[in-house]
Parts: sequence; structure tokens; C-alpha cells
Amino acid sequence: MNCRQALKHLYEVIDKEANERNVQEVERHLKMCRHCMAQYEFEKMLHTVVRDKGKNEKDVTRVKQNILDKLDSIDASGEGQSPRVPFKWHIVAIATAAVVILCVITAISLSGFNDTQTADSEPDNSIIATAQSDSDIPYFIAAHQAHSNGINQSQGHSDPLNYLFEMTGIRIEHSSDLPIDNIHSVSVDTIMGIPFGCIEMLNPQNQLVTLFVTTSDKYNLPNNPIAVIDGREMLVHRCEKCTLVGIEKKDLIYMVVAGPKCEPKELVEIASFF
Amino acid sequence: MADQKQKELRKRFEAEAMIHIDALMRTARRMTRNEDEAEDLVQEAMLKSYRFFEKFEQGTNCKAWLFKIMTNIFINNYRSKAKAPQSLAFDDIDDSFLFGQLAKTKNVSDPEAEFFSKIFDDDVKNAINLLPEDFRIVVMLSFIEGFAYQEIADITNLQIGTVKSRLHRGRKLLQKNLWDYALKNGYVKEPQN
Repeated sequence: MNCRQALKHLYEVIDKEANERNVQEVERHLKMCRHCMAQYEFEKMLHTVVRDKGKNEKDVTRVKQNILDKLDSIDASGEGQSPRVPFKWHIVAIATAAVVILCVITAISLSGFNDTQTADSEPDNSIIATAQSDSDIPYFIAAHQAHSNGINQSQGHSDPLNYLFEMTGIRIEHSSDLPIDNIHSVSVDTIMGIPFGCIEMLNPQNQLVTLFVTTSDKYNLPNNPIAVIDGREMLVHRCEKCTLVGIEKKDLIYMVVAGPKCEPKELVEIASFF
Repeated sequence: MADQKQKELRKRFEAEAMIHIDALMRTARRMTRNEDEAEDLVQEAMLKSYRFFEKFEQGTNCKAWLFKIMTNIFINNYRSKAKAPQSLAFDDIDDSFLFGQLAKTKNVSDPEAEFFSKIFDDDVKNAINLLPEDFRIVVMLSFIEGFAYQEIADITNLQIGTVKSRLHRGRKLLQKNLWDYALKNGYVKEPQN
């Protein structure tokens, strides 16, 4: 190993990331070369100095206490953790509830707004899709409702996100925040002629939400309605049927749709998981 | 029953997660460069991780898990919206820039030791604060928090190659910033070529 090669691996050795062979070769070179040795010692010293001096910080007792107080109120309200209910049953319960609620809403809206419509007709996506449309949002709501009603659903792939990748080329990584168990189903839908990966999953509040994801070169987020959440502008739509949040991130567009009671902020968190 | 379970979880959270508040706060301070925002960021990250703590796999790296949650929140909600164009000429800075510069200073017998003895905590923090955001995060995670390259890749959702190159450039810039600080404060004198 010459000087150039040794210096190339110098930082990896200091960071303890070099493989065994490189470590040995760098060490052998350093024993023979005073200049590189001096440089190595300097870099190592610099690393130590930056680490030690960069570590000293102000006291965080107050920050810690604030967090503990907040944890107390989470514990008191009982909203802290999801109940340990067998997963599939939970989904069924929520899905059933969603269908019941939707049927009620549909029945109310049908009876309220259109007396000529028969009460037993299926929820019609086109009604929603054309309702007060100044953007493409209603399509997502329609797709979400179709999912909630059990239409067009693909069940249980052993690795749902890998299935999504195979079908659409969209790679979404699992994260520890979102265990695979929280993903109910993955399917591919065409919305407005554009293929979307649709992930049906539970949010931290155990509500069923649908995440639509596509590549940004095929679809642009509508410009409105825009809301500001945590200082960040994003597409947010709320109506009596749904809550929808649109986020553009890492060349992908996420549309998260959930029931009307879901807070937009929670949906932002969902998109942030990926 | 439920109360008992919640109590145990809380106890475990305090023992395993709360102990990393110092580390999270110092990284949050460098990330946001603002004390109030740093506190908000850490608080948000801790409350979120508490809600998910039941799903955290015991025995795995809790510190890395917390940093991942915090980094995600920071990237999505806190980072400056308008990304400044980065016109930094990294190639002008040699590897081991600082070593090279100090070697040129002839007026003291041991310029390196002299330099290290004069650098204060705040100088290091300011030098880190001056790094562009992307580099600042990986430099903090590597230098200060001691995460391995692969852990940093997991925390930041970056490829390991990107982590390495950002760390490499971050290191160069950090050396340049430290040198500029030392010059400005008169710890060293501009070497004569």
C-alpha cells in the first residue's frame, strides 16, 4: 500500500469502518511512513477533539421534565398504546364499522339530496367523483371508499411492499415505525388513467387509512386546497366523507386518505413513515 | 390489567429511551440551530416513540430507533423549505486540509498541539453549525453520536454510499470551518506561501 492508498482508507480506519485487510495494510504502511503516521495521528486527534468538545451541552433537565409531564397526560388519557387485539379481527372490526358508517352517510346524503334515487343502490363512485370538483381529489376519495367497501382489494402478500415494487417499480422501504403487521393489503389501482400503488393500513390511532403512491413525473399534486401543518404547506382536503393529505417526497407523491374523523396531522405522519 | 401494562411500558420507556434525551437534544440543536425548535423537535420525537414503543423490538438499538424517528420528523417538518443552492467548491479543499495548513505554520514548534489546546467547545459547535444541513446531520451522527455508517444510512434513509460521500465532504468543510475560526480568533496565523 502506498501513501495515496493508505490515506484513502485513513478515515475508514479512524471511523472503525475499514475491513480487516485494509486495517492491517494501513497499519503496515503507517509503521513505515512517518508523514502518513503524523497525518493519521492528527486526524485521530481531531476526531477525538470534535467528538468531546461537540458533546458538551447545556443541562436538559427541564426538557426531560416537560416530556415526562406530557407522558403523564398520555398515560392518563389512555391513548398511549394500541390495544393488543388480534390484528385481523381488529381490521375486520374497523372495516365493518367503516362500511356501516359509509352506508349511513350514503343513505343520509341520498335521502337528503336526491329523493328520486333508490335507497338500496350501491355507493356510486361517479357521484363522489363529480361532486364540487375543482381538483382531482374526489377520485382519491372514490378509490378510498371503494377500498373501504371491499372492492378491488388484494389480500395478504407475504411482503406487501415488495409486491408493490414488482407491480409499479415504486420502492418503499419498511421502517421500524411502521411494522408490516400494520399493512392490511397492497394493490395497484388506476386513478385518472395513472397507476397508483394503494396501501391499506392502520395508523397509530388504529384507524384504517389508504395510502396512494405514484411517481411524480406521472402526476402533479393539485395546487389547492393547501393547508399549513407544522409550518409545512401541503394539500389537505376535508369533507364529511374523508380526510385527505397529499405530500410530495423523494420523487414520489403520497396521497393519504382516511375517514372524516382522522386528523390531517396523523396522515402527514403516515406519509412520513415511508 | 391495562393500567399495569401501561405502567410497565412507561417504566421501560424511561429506562431505555429517556436516557438518550441528552444525545437527542444536542443533535436537535445542531439540526435546527434554534433552542426552541430543538426542544419541540425532541419532544415530538419522544412522544411519537412513546406511542410506538410497544412496537419497538426490545434488544435492538433504541438510540438508533429514536434518532431515526427524530431525523424523519426533522426532514419532513423542520428543515428549511427553500433549499439553498450549494455552490461549495469541495474540490478546492484537500483531504486533511487542516493538517496541511498547520504544517505550513512555522512560527510555533508544535502547531497541531497548539491548535487543539486553543479550540473551545463553542468553536467546534459553531464549525458544525456552519455546515450545510445534509452534511451537518451525518457529521453529527458519525462524529458526535458515534453511529456506524450503516446505522446512519438507516437513520437518514440514505444509501450507504451517500452517507460516506456526505461524511467525506462534511469532514473537509468542518476542517475548513475550524481553520477559519482559528484564523479569525488569532489562534493561528495565516501561513505564508
